[in-house]
Amino acid sequence: MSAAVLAAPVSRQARRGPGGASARAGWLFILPNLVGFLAFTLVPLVSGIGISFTDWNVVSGLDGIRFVGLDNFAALIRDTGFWQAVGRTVLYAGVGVPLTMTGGLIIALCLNGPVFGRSALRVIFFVPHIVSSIAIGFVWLLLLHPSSGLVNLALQAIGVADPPTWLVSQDWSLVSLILITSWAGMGFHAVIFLSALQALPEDLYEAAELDGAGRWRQFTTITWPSLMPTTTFLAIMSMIGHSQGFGLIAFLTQGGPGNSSTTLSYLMYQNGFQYYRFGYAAAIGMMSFVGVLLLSAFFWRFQRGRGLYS
Amino acid sequence: MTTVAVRQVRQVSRSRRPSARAGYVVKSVLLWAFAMLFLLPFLWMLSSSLKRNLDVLAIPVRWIPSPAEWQNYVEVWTGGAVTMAVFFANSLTVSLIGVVGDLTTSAMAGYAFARLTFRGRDKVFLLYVATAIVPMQLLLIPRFMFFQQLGLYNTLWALILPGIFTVFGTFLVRQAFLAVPAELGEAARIDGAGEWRVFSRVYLPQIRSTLAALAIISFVGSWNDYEGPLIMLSNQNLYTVPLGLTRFVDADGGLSAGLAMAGSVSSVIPILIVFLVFQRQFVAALASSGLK
Amino acid sequence: MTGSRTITRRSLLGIAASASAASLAGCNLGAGGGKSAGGGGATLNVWGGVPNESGPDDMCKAFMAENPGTTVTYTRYVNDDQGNLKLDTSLSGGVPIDLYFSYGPVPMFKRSAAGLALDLTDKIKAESDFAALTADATPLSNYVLNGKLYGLPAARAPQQVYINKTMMDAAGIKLGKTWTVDEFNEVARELTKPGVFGTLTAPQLARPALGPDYLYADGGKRSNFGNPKFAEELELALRLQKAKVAMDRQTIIAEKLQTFSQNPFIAGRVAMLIQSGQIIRSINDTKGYPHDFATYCMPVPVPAGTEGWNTGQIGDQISISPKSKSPDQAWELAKFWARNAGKYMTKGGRLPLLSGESTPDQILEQLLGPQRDKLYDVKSWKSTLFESDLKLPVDTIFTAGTEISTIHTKLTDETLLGDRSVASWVTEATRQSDAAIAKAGK
Repeated sequence: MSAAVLAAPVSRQARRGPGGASARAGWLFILPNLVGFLAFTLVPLVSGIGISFTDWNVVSGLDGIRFVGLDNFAALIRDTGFWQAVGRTVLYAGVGVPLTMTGGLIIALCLNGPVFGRSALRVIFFVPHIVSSIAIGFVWLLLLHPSSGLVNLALQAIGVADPPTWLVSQDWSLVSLILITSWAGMGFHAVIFLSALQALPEDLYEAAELDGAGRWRQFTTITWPSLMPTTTFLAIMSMIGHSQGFGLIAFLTQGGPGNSSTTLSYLMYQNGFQYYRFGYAAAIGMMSFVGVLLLSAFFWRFQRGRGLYS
Repeated sequence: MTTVAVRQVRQVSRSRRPSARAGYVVKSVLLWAFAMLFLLPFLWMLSSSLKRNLDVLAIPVRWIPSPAEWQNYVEVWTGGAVTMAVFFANSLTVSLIGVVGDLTTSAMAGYAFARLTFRGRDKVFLLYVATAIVPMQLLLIPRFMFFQQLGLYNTLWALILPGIFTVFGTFLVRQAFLAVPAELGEAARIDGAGEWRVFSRVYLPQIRSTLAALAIISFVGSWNDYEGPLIMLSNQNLYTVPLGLTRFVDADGGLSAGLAMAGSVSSVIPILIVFLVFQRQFVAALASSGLK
Repeated sequence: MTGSRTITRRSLLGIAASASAASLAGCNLGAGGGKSAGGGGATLNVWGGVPNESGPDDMCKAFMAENPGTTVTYTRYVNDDQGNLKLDTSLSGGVPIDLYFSYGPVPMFKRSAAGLALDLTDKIKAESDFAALTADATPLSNYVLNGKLYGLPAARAPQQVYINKTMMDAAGIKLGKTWTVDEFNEVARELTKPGVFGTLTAPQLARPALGPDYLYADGGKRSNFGNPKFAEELELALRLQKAKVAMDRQTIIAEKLQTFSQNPFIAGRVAMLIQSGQIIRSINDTKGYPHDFATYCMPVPVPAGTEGWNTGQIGDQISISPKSKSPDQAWELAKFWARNAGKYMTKGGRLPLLSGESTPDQILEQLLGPQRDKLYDVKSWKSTLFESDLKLPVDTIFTAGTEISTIHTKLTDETLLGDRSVASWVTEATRQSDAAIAKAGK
């Protein structure tokens, strides 16, 4: 999942040949995880792929399965609602991921230096990450109330005459969700970035300082390249998180108003569990899977080309 | 609060510059201002949890409710058929069994993938890699069917089991083991240690921090899971905290802001305490794991 | 007695005379019903949307008293998206559920289409007092799909208008027994003050004018959103919202008032509310919803020159899960429930479909509770519930019902939020619904 993890070659350190006692031990060690992996990931995945080729709209049993070939995918491609959801998902992740990461990085850079109340700050930024998304949803639901919410009262106080109505506006609902998601995830990103920063070798900076490199030069030539593996890892994690983002959407907007916050994951849920169109829902899931797969591969290659040590 | 002393050597040496003092103040002020965006929602949550429903959105905003409506907490913890305590117990059960299970199976599998050689290993690993980024939603419907067939629908096992066998954990642990020199095991094997002993006594202690990080990520993940319980549970007595929270609207479905906030605060406080107590280890674990 | 029976026939039941006569006998049948399903010792699990204490517990207790050895457990689900999802997944997931309630034909047929409901056609036909509820009764009083019945309705869920009487008196408003939409709008305007909306929502126009199957044209082959009544309805809603006579859609969505809207009414932020009967659960709960005004009741306003169909429906469909281990016992309980709904369920705000032996006054007493003289304008309630003609539309077409209802809601939200024109609402609602109908027809 982590680029660094994925990037590591399948181990070549093994000294001893296959077969014999070691082979049995190997399989025994893998077995518990493998059994669960097969049962709860691979089999569902394969069945999910299978379902996407069926017209399965009942939940009463396995008798209702009827194969329809590529019908679901053909219908998806013609479904404007689907493409709009793709667009929203791309926007949600495309803005949300960089925003979360930039915010996290800035916080980390600040916390890496001397600052008043550093450990308190670290806690404050990190707390949203450990709080249940529903609790976060509740508080933002009320804070973003269009007329009596704290956010708009504050905006009006500083002279914004006509503040956005956030979650109940077609133009702002997705933006609100992006902001809330980023707000909740920034602290986690900051902690990971911070740890990477603290692991950077001190002498690199000392040498750069001797060469007369300013702060910004130091950042672009040393810090940023060194952070590449971390950045890629967080980017992929965050992208997967965004592409699957569900809890907040389901709880706060149910994909609305209109369809303005219906992302792929919500569209899939809606088709599967509200309309009982499991085949169609699985087809949406497949498309989303392929999309994330391609993007992850892209990020991974990108970082391999750029990283300082990969 | 004053942990300036924790500064690293590098910063100390830099802060000797004349402008450093001013920079320190400006940076501190800006960062604290930004931090307010993170702190205020929680303070507001706390304040609103002590208000009557109708007062939560009243204008002007009163940060200190008077009189404090403690009744909200009484209601959340004792009112209704199912209380917060039940949700907590369920969440803890799911999260703790999940974490222990995840650590166990991931550590074993990750070890085998990294440090044991056997026929088929790389093929199996490739299979893991291929499924690493499968969206949860795609698995949800088949898992739902599957648990239904097994008779595990509407049991906590439907939440626990998928959490025990994770591809992510296996990757993380494998990565950590790759960083541990292979010679370590060789030496122990020459001394006649069995495979299990080599694993548990020699290798495992080397990746403690990775295991801690995995424990945290796994715990937070299952603690906050909303979609799983939404689909897999039917009985309110089995609800976990996130799903339980959504029920803190009143009996007729109206949104009761005060109750909702009291429920939210109740869900935050315990995990916040745990976090504050283990904060140092928490951050250190994330920091020193293979995540960076 | 005769008088009350006439009233019952004409307005309370809204169903054929034969049913009324038979329903009186029905209770006797109900009383003896238990013994026919031999054995006993069964455990029946019931899922419904009415809170336990608002009737279901009493109902279950009464059934158990008549059927010793049978245990009935009632589980409450909240009748919103999440609650309905829970019921669906529980039914298909194999949670023991024998009997469950759907609130309206669309969710019921969604469940029956998924094989989650037993065919009750013959069972209902076999009961003489259910004659009005059979698939071929005229007029129809039950929801029929392809000639089959999957639910036994236990309640009517007509909508009424509830008015804050204190505000009404302060504005010096006097009302007759019925009113037109124009009169309603005028009253709403008069009740509007700073901080108070005259009404939560605008009255509907399409349903009252078009009646049953108002969403469909050509016998269900396509949707009916092109009918000008829909556009008129939206334009009225936009007008009232713009004049701040109706609450703005933003606030309604932000506070999640679409399904459960008692809060702003009790808090005095809206003077009128158009809703079905569940509101009385909140009004009667003076501890949870303290308030100091009485609630006045009026029928839903009638658009001038139309039939004046009510905007509610026949509610509380009892279905039996095919997975039930004791379907016969479950059917006994279903019958018992439908026959005794008047006795036990009225305090939950459910008006019985079969009134049994209860007189209007008895039903009112149950419905409005012991504090009725303080909390209600009882006369207006009696007049609205029992003395005015109620035309409850019974739909017969349900193709792609869930999808169409979602499409309708989403597009209406968009329009009322100001993001979509009425003309575009009509085009899109028609296009999307027709597509959904076509997809479902395949």
